[in-house]
Amino acid sequence: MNEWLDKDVLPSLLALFEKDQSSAALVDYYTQLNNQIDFRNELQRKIWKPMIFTVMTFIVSIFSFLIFDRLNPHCLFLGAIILFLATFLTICYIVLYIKFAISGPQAEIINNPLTEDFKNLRYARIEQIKDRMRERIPIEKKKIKEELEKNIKQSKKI
Amino acid sequence: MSNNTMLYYLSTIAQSMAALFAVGGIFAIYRLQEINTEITNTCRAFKEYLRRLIEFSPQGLVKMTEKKIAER
Repeated sequence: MNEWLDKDVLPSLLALFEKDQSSAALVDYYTQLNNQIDFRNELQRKIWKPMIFTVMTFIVSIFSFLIFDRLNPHCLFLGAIILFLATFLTICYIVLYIKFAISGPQAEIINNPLTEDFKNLRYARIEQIKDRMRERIPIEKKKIKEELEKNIKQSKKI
Repeated sequence: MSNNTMLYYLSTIAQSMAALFAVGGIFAIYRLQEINTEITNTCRAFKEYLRRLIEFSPQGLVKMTEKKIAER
């Protein structure tokens, strides 16, 4: 689906539409798409931790339930405390995962191809590019008008 | 702690973990489907936008006006 979307695509597109006023929208679209893709990857990556913890706690509790009679009472008490902590940890992980999933892709910019340095720097550079694009709008408008007028004059001469 | 208490405790933890696994899994699948749809929509919109940008870029505009002038 996104083969056409690699890290070199944005600079080349910006170069192509450098004279266009809508280059800022181009950056917006690209950033949005990247955010969504990164969010999906994070969503896939982060699911493993809570799931593995849940399965492990489940297996341990079932196993200790089955061999309950053979266990030493002291050992059982310690096991019960460890299981309680594991359950608490698992619930925490699941709650954190659900919170992350609800937050949505706009919450933070991860791995933006525009900048790969610090997060603040990414925001700053995106804003800087947008501002630069906005500054260019009136200049480019003038140029387009002049070109059009030239064309019209030439056509009248012909 | 009596034996019964321990058995109740362990079985409760097992059941809770099974329920949590189901809830977490279903939530993850739902969100992944949703984000996939969002990505498809953004891709489509982006492509459409690029197509329009190419058509109505300054160079494209000049060419269009030239064509119109030539038609006259």
